[in-house]
Formats: sequence, C-alpha cells, structure tokens
Amino acid sequence: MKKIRRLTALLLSAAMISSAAAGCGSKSPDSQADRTSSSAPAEAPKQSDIGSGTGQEAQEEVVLEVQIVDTNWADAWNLMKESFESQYPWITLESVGAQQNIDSFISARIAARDLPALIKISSTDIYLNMIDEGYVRDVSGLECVANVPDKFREAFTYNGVEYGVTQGASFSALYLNMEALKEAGWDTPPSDWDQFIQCCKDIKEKTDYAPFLFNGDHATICYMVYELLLANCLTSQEEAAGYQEALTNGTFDFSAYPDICRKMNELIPYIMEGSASTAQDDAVAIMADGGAAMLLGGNWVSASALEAIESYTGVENSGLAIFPPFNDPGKPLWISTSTEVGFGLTTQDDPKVSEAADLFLNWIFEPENFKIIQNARGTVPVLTNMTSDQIVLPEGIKGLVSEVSGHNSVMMGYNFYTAEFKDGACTALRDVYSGNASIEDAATSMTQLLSQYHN
Amino acid sequence: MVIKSHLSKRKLTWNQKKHLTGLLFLLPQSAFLAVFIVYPLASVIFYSLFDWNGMSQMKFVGADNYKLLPGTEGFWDMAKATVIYAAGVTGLVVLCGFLVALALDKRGKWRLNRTAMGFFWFFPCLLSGAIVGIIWRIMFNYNGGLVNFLLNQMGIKSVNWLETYGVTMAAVIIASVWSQIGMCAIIFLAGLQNIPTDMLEAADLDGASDIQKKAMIVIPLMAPSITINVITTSIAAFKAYELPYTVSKGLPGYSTRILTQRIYFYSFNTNKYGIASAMSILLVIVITLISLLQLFVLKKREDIY
Repeated sequence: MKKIRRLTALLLSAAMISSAAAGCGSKSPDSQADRTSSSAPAEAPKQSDIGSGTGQEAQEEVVLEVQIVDTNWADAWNLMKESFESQYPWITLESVGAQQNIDSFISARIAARDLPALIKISSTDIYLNMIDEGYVRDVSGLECVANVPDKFREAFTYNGVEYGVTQGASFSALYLNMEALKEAGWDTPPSDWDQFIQCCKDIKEKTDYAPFLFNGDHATICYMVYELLLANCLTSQEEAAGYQEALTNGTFDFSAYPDICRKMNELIPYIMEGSASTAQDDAVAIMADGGAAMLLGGNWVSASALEAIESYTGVENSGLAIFPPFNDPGKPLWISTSTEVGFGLTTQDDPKVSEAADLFLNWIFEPENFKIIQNARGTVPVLTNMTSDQIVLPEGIKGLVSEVSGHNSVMMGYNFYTAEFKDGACTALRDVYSGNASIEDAATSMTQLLSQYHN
Repeated sequence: MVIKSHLSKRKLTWNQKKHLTGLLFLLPQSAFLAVFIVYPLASVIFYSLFDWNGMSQMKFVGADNYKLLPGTEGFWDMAKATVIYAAGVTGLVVLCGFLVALALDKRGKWRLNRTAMGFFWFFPCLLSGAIVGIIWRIMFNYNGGLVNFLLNQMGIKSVNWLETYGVTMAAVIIASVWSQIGMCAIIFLAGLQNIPTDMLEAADLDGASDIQKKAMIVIPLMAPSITINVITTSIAAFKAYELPYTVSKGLPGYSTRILTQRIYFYSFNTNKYGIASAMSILLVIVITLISLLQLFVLKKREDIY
C-alpha cells in the first residue's frame, strides 16, 4: 500500500514537472539569431507560378499566421481567406491579433520569438527596431511592389530595406450630416475656417446636434485636430517639409504659432463633450444616433461614418465628406495625408512558411483580390494596375479621392513621432479638448516632450 | 562496482523515507514556484540592469534605469495616482465588504435574502477585470451612458465621468470596489461566523446596543480578517492593470494612470524593457514594504485584542 502511495506521488510529480516544462515553450532566445541570419528575402515566386501551384515542394501543408486584418474590413476577411485557400489548398490562413493593439501584439510575439509571417507595418519605433534587428524581410524582390508608385515605395524604405507594401493612401476628412446642417441653415458645406466656426455656432444654437465630434481616443485623430490647424498656418510645401523635419529631429516649436491657439480656442466650445475619450466605434454610433452634426476622421472610417449618417436621417446621400475647411478665408486649404499602414514580411525559421507568405502577399496585391480590402476600407488606390471598375468606394468620398493629390498637405504625425511623444502630446491635447488645460500650456508641454523624445 | 552494489543493497531508514516522501510532495509546487515566480522575478531584476528593446544586443547599464525613473514623463503624477487608487480601493473595499458581510450574517439584524445578496455581491468577482472595466466605461460614458441617464432622470446635469480630474479617479475606484467587494465580504463573513455567540448574548444581558456590540466585540474579534483583507486588497490594488485602464485609459492627464500601465507602456509600446523592468522592481519593493508595514500595524492591533 505504501509503495503504491509513493509511486503515485512520484508519477504525479513527474507529470506536473513535465507539464510545467512544456508550458514554458521550447523556443530558445537563440532562435532570434537564426532569424537575423535568415533575413534575406525569400525568392519571389514567378507570376506564372501563382495560381498554377509551385511544384511538389510548395504543396506541403503550411499554416500561415497573418496579422493584417483590421476591424473596418474584418467582414471581408472570410471572403479573402476562402478565395486564397481555394487557389492554394495546401496553405491554411490563420488570422491573429485582429482585435488587439498592434504594437502590443507584436511586442508580445517578439518576446515569445513567434512572429506571424505577415504583419501590418508602419514607421513607428517598434517596427524600425525590428528592421534594424533583422526581424523584417525586404520585399523589394516581390512582384507585387512593381505596381506601387515609387513615392509610396520610398515611404516604406528604411536603412535600405523596403519593409512593406502600403495598403493605399489616407487623408483627413470631415463627415457632415447635411440634414443637420440644413436644419441650421446651411445648404452647402462650409468652405473656410470662418464659415466652419459660424456653421458650428448655428448648429449649436438652432439644432439639438452637437456641432463637432472626433474620436480622440485614437492617437492619430487626437493629434489630427491640432495637425490640421497647424497645416493651415503653413504657407508652402517647403515649410511643410521643414515642419516634418523639425518634428523628426525634435526641434519643432509648437508655441511659435499663435494662430493655432486662437483657432483652437474658437473651436473648443463646439467640440462635443466626451470627444477626447471617444473611441472610433463610439463616434460612429453617435453619428448613427444623431448626436453630432460633423465628425472629423480619417478616410478609413468613411464607409461606416457615411452609412451611420444615412441610417439616422433615412435620406439617401445625406452624409457628405469634405476636406476639413480649417483654412483662413481666401487662403488655400491644407490637409494631412499619409501612406496607409502596410503589410510586411517577417523572417521565419521555416522556408516553406516564408514562401507561402510571399505567395500570399503577391496574391493580396493582385487587383481583383486587393479590391476586397480597399473597397471595404475606402482607401485611396495606389496600385497602378487597378482599373476604375475595380475601385468601388463609398459614394460620399469618391469626389475627395480624386482631389487628394491636388491639395497642399502635411504628412500625418504618426509617421514621425515616437511612442513617448505621441503618448505625452495626446495626453496634453486631450486635456485641452476636455477643457482641463489651455492650448498654450499644451503647446509648451509638447515642445518640451518633442525635444526629449524624438526619432 | 563494489560501491554500487553496496548502495543498491543499502536500505533507507524510516526517517529518510519520510523526508524523501515529503520532498516528493513538495517538488511539484516548488517546480511551479521556480518556473513561474522565481525565474520571472530573477529575469526582471536582470533585465532592469540592461538597456534592451527585446531584440537588440543587451547593453549593461547598471542602476541607470532606476536613476532614470523619476525623470520619466508623468512619473510622479502616476505614482500619486497609484497611491490614491490603492488607498481608495483598499479603504472602500474593506469598509463595504464588512457592511455586506454584516448584511449577510445569519445572526445580524440587518439580515437580507442571503442567497440573492451573496450572488449579487460575489458575481462581479467571477468576471475578468477587463470585462468589468468595459461595462463601467460604457455606463460612465458621457454620451448615452447609464449613470448620466439616471442622473438626468433625477434632474441632475450629466457629469463627464471620464474626462474630469478627480471625478474620473472616483469612477475608476467605484468600478474596482464593485468588482472586489464579494471576495472581501466572504472573508469577513467567515470571521463573523466564528464569533462566539455567548459573548454577544452576554453583551445583550449587559444591555449593550447593537452599535456597541459591533464596536466593542465584533470589530475587535474580526481583526485577523481585517488584516487579511487589507493586505490582499492593497496588494491587488497596487498590481491592478486591466480594470483601471479599461475604465479611464489613464485620463484625464496622468490622473488615473497607475504605474502598472506605465510598465506596460514601456514594455509593449516603446520596447524599453530595461526601464519597464526597473519600474516593476520598484513596484515590488513598494508593495512589499507597504504590506510589511500593514502586517506590523495590524498584527499589533490583533495582539491587543
């Protein structure tokens, strides 16, 4: 009896120790070195290979983890997955991290030495570090980049590595509930700053709508309000380039533009209370409930914002997108633009996974496939081989898309600032939007932050 | 060869067998502690001495990460927020938990339907902090949130719960207290059940009022439960991350951003693992010191009774 008891204890101990050891993962930190050494790009498959199979070797079963799905086109992912897997039955796509903060998700995967083969990528600190350390592969050898204009390829090149393929271009837009504006006496949208402020005033006085809403919870949008005021203080594209350079090297003085402070102080009374902490989905919901008359956002929210406005008013085309009219009367309008977040390839230990990732990336950027993402997100097309019938953007934003390149623009801040500056600046700006601090104090604080935390 | 055969024939003494069996039973738990507590803690101490982004070569910097901490953006505001949050949550959870336990006590005069009340108060403990946080964030939402709706129904103007200094911390504390009262009440309830009935009956005979009985008999005899609740709740409050973050996202300013959120920020948003590790170690030291202080003070109080 005693022997049985001892044996049971021994077996239980062994089982628990082995399960604990198994739970710790088997990948050693040394595999990082393996990744670095295998950072050369996998040879791109020939276009003729795509769709017809790539030989016996490629047809071994591969599970491809990808972290590319955004909530605003998540509905289209299943269609994409089915379509790709039907053409390449030996590759199974698995979407990961779709609902999570992408930086946090990637950081956790780096710590686990287990990166998805295909990821969303931009020029923020974490990705630049990944490029420096050889975690990201150069995509310049892939066929899909041949159809991307040079300026977008240059935007995705760092230290000689072309680290991603952009999903398109993005820009700032103002979504108007035209029924609300009509109720306030505005049959046409405002076209400059003075008209915009007057329009806000009329909406506040004559209707139940809040005049101006934005989703300040999102750092890009939180900074965009300030960024647009700043952009419209600039006078030339050279000056804009200077601003971008100063933002990058930490020398930009936010306090040197009293006009921004004046305009911000004019705007604050019309900002819907709660905007500073409103998330994107909540902002769209507020528009769908008729809470606000105007929503500032990126073009990526166009489909849902315009649909929300129409669903509230019940009037077709009552949602209209315009460029935010933050320009002084008689002066040209400036907007903020950017390349969209791109898709990049990570280094993988298994060459079969790398080959499958190359195959999938090339497949995504074939016009017939890429339109699934593009039309769901409403991005400005950049692929030169896409035909007009493949571009089906929301009606309310079509006019803007064709005009983006005709406007003066600054690059959206997130292309330049560090995580620390972004966090500190947005904290300061949110305090301004909620009426807890003055814009003058925020500008001073942002200048100090930038000098301390810059690229 | 001779030695081996000698050893194989040697029999263990009864005491040796007893110790060996004991060690075998200790082994699984020790292995778990080593793998999930000791190793990570040692790693964090190790990383705190290096400049490292999780990918690059590690560069030894000694205590530089610790020296940098006070100068990092918003550090003192966040330290202040952490202390206010921990103190507020600990105080209110212990107080409310005690009142709930009194309401659930079968001998109490404030007796309510125990099953319903028990479920109502204990249910939040079963939910994850993130879910509780999101629920409360929706309820505190300025535009269309339930709390403002109820205030409006009572003729009170809407409050911007998530963007007003002071008010947002109160909102975060309310959400945290709601989620932790149940566990605290259970511990108090167990303590209440152990109070000898004859002492309370004797007090009744002496003409003691209900309040006097609570103050002079119940609370002193509950001292061990109070010690456990204060220490466990304050440790949990100092370590809290997901609930405060999901309620307020650290706004307005840094007023509700507690240090754990900054640790996460340095780890996963800036990849400065050295600073994040140094901040973690600092937090461990602070929690340990505060816990020891609480233990010392409360134990002394227990001894008095």
